[in-house]
Amino acid sequence: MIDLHQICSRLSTACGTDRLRVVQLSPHEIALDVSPQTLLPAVHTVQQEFNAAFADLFGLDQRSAQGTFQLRLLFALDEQRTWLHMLVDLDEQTPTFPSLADALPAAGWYEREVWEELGIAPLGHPALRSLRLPPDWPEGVYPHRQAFNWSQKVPTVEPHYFKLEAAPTGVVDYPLGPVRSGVVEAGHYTLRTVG
Amino acid sequence: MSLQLFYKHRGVEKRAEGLPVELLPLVAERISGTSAFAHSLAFCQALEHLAEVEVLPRTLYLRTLLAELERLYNHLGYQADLCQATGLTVAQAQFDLWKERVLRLNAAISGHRYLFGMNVPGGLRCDIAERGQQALRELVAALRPDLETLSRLLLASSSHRDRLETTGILTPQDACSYGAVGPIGRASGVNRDLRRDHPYAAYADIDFAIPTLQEGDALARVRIRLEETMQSLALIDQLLERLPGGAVRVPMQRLPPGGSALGWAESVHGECIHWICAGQDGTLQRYRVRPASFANWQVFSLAVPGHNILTDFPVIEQSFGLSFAGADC
Amino acid sequence: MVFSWVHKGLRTGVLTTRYPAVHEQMPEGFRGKPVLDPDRCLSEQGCTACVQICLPAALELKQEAPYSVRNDAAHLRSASSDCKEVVQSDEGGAGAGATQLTLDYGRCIMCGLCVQACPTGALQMTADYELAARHREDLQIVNLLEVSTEDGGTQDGGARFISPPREGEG
Repeated sequence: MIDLHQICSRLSTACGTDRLRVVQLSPHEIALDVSPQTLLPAVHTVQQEFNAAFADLFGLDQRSAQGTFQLRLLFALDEQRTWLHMLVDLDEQTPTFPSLADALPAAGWYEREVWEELGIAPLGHPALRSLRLPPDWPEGVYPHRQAFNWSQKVPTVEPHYFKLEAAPTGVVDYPLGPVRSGVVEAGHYTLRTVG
Repeated sequence: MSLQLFYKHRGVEKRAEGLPVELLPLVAERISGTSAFAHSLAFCQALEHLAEVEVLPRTLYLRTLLAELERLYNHLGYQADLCQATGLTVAQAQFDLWKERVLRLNAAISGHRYLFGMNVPGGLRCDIAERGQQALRELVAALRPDLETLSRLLLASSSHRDRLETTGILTPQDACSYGAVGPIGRASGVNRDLRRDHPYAAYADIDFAIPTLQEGDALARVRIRLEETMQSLALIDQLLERLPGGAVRVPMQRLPPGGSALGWAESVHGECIHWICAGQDGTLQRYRVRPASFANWQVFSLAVPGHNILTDFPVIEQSFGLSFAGADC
Repeated sequence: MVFSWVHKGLRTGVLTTRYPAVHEQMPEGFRGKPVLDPDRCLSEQGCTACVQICLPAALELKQEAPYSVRNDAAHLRSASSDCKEVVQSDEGGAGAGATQLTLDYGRCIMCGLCVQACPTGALQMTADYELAARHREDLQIVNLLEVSTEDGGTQDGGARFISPPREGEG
């Protein structure tokens, strides 16, 4: 069984605050509330001291119920057979949080997704651009906000494609897909090779 | 290598909001057809956790059985795909034959070749008849020795093996810091598997091993898959032997308004995590799914550059065996 | 080693089936094309069970005036124009309005929930999986209730599927 006291006190020390709450949500899930300022030290601590494996990062629009956006991280604590939720409430007018992408490379794509789907900005992200939405998706339309209906028609805009910087001489860019031979799904690769 | 995915982004998470509970597994299954059962299992488990519904013992065992069947046909298919990439056509045909036999067995026991429509909140839609169990026993008994032969031949085929060794190396350090999961991670030293570390369904009751390697090249991934296939056969044998009797479904309870829960399953690609938050009317207000392929596509970009040449690319791609639709959801 | 693969291949022999020249039967319980027996259908008496449960809105029910039945499954209604909203009428009981039950095989995902929901067993899944068509319109059955049943089989009443080339035919 997981020792909530121990987790709580170690995290409080690492984050430099005296009150951090860790609650047991269910037999296999615990939750920890952090602020945007204590997010980075908390993530660092759970990884280093509790050997937590990063699993997920996503956002919620809870403005109608709580007046905030919420960022949620999920870590797996394998030794304790428990999942740790880390919850960060964000201001509804300017929802931002410090990017974890440098310290936690796995978080890179998840932060881009939260940004495009909810408008929550990861400050300091090394390569912030759209992830899943198509290139002709308009600015300011956030599908995971409550107001967005799944069946509403979204007007298209001039597509903005991601361009690689030009290849040096002697190096060739070889595009592959999204339509290619074989019974395969759609994905596009640009393979950069010599010659 | 620059990667552009998400051509198949369908907004699955948004679509699930507001749907009646009995329709939700349909949505989860269609995230990725090759891990349909694992996704619907994780989702139903999340719903059952939230509604505090305890499923019956027979349900747990049958769910485990079907999950292993899904793992089986996928691993066999990925071996075939890789043999196609290296031009070992007889081997490709042999593995594809076994995959087809498993798909036909799936159709016979569940009505769908890819095991769609089996998981419902509260259990399974229907039971597996005795003749289905017998057919499964016979298939496992025939596959095990043949797989041993095929594995031996495959690993000794120098034309195949040469193209796999040291190709597409994913270092253990990268695998760990970029969160690689599933057999991809396990071939690069990430010794994690939800079936052992966070047991669900009947996995806590049965014995199985989780193979792990450190080399992280395409050959390591092939060896992990072969070993996992053998483990799946052992799992299926144990499950059939100890299958409890009884019904397979209990009634689903209403979702508590505002409550949230997590559901998880180890699909063939790796760990799939589903999180749900119920609204006031008993339907979902927010649905979050993190398919395994979403995590693993990030590490694919790391395994391709380096000392690999252009013709290594199909080998690396097939050795990863990732799902596009799964990542895109 | 090449010799061993050749040996393995020769021992396995030829397992390729002769489909489509020879039809491949799917096992019992296989979920293929759903069909309706109009004599058992209660849509004219106000039953909407199948329409309510159909997630892709493949099944639609429309009744001409003076009676209409509301499809109150708001979650299924999309913004696209081909999903019709049916208007509530205040009058009850059986009447002389013409009922239309449309099935669009292009939308159907063969989940079988309509069959489970049907209170009389009028809807059944068959094991028919050969549902390719040349045109989008060929997949739409305008009115399932007008399909006649002969000798236990049902005609497709509007859906035109491509017939696979079987040996011994044409």
